[in-house]
Amino acid sequence: MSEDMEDMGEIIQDFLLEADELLEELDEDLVTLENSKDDSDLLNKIFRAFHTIKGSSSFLGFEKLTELTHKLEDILNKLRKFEITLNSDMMDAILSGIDKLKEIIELIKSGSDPESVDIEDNIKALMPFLDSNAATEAENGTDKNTKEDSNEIDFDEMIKEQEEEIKEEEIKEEESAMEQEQQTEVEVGENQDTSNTESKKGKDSDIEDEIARLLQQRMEEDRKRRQERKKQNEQKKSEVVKSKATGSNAKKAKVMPEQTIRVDVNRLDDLMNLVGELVLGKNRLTSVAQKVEDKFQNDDVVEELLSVSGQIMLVTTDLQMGVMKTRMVQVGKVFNKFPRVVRDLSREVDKDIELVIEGAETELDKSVVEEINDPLVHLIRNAVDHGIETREERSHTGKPPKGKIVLSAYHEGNYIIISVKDDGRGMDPEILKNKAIEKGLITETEARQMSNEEAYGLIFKPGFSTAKSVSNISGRGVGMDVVKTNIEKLNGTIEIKSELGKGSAVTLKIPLTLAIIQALLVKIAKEYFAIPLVSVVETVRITKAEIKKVENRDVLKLRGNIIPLVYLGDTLGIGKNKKMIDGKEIYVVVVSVAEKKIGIVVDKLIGREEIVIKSLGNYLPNIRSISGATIRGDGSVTLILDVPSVVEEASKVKSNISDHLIDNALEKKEKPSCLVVSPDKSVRNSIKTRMISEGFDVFESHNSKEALDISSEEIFDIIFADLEMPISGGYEFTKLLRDFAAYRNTMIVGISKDGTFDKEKMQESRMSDVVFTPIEEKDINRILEIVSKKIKVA
Amino acid sequence: MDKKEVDLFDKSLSLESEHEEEIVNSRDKSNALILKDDYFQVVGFILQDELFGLDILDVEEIIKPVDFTHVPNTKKFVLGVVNLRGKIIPIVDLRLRFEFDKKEIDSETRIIIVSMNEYNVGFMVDKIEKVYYVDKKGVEPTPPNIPPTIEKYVKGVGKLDDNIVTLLNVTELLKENGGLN
Repeated sequence: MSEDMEDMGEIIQDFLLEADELLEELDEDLVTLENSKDDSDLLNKIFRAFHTIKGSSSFLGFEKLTELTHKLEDILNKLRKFEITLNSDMMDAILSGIDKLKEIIELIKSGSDPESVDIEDNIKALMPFLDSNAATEAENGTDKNTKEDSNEIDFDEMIKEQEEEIKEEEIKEEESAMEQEQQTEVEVGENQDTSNTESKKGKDSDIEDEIARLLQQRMEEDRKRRQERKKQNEQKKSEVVKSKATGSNAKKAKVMPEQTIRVDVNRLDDLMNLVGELVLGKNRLTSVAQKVEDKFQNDDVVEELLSVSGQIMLVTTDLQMGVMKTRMVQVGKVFNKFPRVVRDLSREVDKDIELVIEGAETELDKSVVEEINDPLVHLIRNAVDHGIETREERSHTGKPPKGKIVLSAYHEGNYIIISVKDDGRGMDPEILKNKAIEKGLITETEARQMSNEEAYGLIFKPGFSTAKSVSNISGRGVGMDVVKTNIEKLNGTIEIKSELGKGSAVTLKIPLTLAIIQALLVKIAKEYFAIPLVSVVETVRITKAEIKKVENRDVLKLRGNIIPLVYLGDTLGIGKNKKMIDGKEIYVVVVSVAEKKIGIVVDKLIGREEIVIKSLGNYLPNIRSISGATIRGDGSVTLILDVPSVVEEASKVKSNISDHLIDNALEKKEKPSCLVVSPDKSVRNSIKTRMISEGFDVFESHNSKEALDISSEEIFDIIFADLEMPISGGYEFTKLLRDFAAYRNTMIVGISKDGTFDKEKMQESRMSDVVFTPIEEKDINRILEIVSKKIKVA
Repeated sequence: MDKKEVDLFDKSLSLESEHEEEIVNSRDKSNALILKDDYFQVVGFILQDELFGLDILDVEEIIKPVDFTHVPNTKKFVLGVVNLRGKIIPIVDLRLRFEFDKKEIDSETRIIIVSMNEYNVGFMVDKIEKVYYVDKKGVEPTPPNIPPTIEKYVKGVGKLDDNIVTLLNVTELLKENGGLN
């Protein structure tokens, strides 16, 4: 029995999926219908949709759902026979009926009792449009008390309908499809009746068999129906293209087997994760192959390795694209509900508005699609309520009375661009600024310095609203804030364009997928960070002379724009005392978040890389300024910056670029300094005493990690590093240190405790010299001589 | 039953051979699974010269210190994150966590990777001892001489023949996460 129950659950799941799809289509179709009332194809399509839902719901015993759908179906039946004509009141009743259907479906999904819904109001609203004949049916409907009764009546009605339909034979092919569908339904009905009688006899096993048989039949039928629907759609398409007399073509379409399957999203997620791992592996393989090539050139095996790694790279990229594509859904899935939204809203505010949808077939990742729904609702509402003017206002300004909102989507590289454009009144930056000052969101000085774009950006501030009164639709000042947060969550950007009197356009730029992104790698002291490329506007190299001060903050003038500058280390709280920047070449990454642009100063630009986003796990949730981590080709972990929070932090922290300049630090220096890195205290002490006697400031460190931190805060003239240290030894340490702008030519001396050293490694890491323990006087003297020359030159 | 199949107790890991003998003998008579119910198996480690223990069932593995990536805006005791076969694992310096003095990483330093309820965290400790069998009946509540900073993370104290082991409560240790808010 339990297996059967599972089957039943599956059937209900299938039904819910189907109903969702149908209802979604219905919304769109009905709004289209309002503009083309005589489209009999469309009328038939809508009728069929209601019919399908009714059939399935009655089989599954959802009474209220059946009853309401039945009424809707009746109305559509009359409409398609042109017995009555559609008006907007009728459409309102139908649409609110659909809303109720959705409500019931949601209840079924959540496991609540779908019969608890009150549908009386909807029935009442629909009744006036049905004639006396229908009214009696409705009476029957309300009398239905038991399941058996309702089933019987339903099936009777179905047979009746079926007979009528056969007589009519309006559109031959479609009708025949439906006939088939109904015949099977009737069969099921009869069978169910027999099963009911049997159940009274209490033969459990028989019932089980019977149910199993019924279920199978039902599934068979469902499958058929879906195929039927698909065929019909295909048929319709071909009909549109080739007008009439395409009998042979239509038949061809019928033979086409089903080409799609439903797959659990979790499975796709798992697959995507695996591909993510593979991409990391690929990155690693490439970097290893590169290293091997550098080491052993002109070797056959290396050649082979390179070609294999090249091939793996190609295949992985293809595989990644392939898996990404399986997760892609058309953005139309979200767009399609907007005609209904616009229709309802424009009726509410009494405006004439036409919604034009472009690029509904543009595809993007399923998880992204789910996230863009809310922002779009708010943008559309805003356009309807604030953007488009009233009829009178429009006629005054010589615009057509019907307002137009264009919702469009298209691909641009690895991004999808979605824009909401209206031909309404546009935004006045001055009004926005005044409003913001009034609400205390900005100061007057800030307002004066604002560009128009920045002023438009004010609408994203929480609590901001220009609406004179709060309406049902908008005016509370939360909507745009939601847009901003959701888009930022997707690593997307927002751009607003507006022209007073002509209209506004909000453009969203969102990465196609969330799991694997392009990023710009940068370096601060010894740490690397990845900045999602979608936020990066450009990178520039400047000198310290180009940094200007405005209100005691560093800014950069870039092609007429004033961009605030901030040292990344300061915003992350790791920049304190760091002196890493060479004043002759300062690297700035200009990032934009929603409407804001800032310049992030980094020590070094590494380059662009494809990274797989990984979470930091439950133990480190919601870390400020960090959105996740990725694993690099060499196996190390690199953190991914959460650009919105970095930008937010940037406005709070005090960051003075000149504090981080190497040149400034050197100027302030009074004594030469020296760093001794070794886990061995006696080694440190012996060098320390000697260097102090030579007039050096001496710093000590146990390990290379700490030493790297110290040497980014104080600029040393000479560094002694033990070759043997935990985690990373002297060679490794030297290599890392040479990467710092301040230590490109500094004297770095290795300390060998066993009398040996690796010449190759020494050259590779560009270590200047090696001394052996116990330290000999002549070695120290030799080194001091070189260093003192260097200091003199500097 | 073949002896090797039920060899849950690795001889080399046991504390004293006498105790070991006893276990092996009793295993021959009864069943190893029953024995398992009477003893905790704990991974013993040293922190500031004191013996601590973590339930072996919570321990995924023990690794040598590797280079970690510092994460800004985290608590002081979070050293950073490491890549462990494709997984990102935060590393906590248990000394700093318990407000002991900092100790430099040396050749004996180890990281115990703990895995529990979707949490994966590495705890850096001074030194790993070995796996001990702690008689469940012999576990006593926290004695008063335990520093207040670690009291709430202690499950109890297990008696060994010539030492005691402070048993840590991993759930409590992981409850307070490493983020700065």
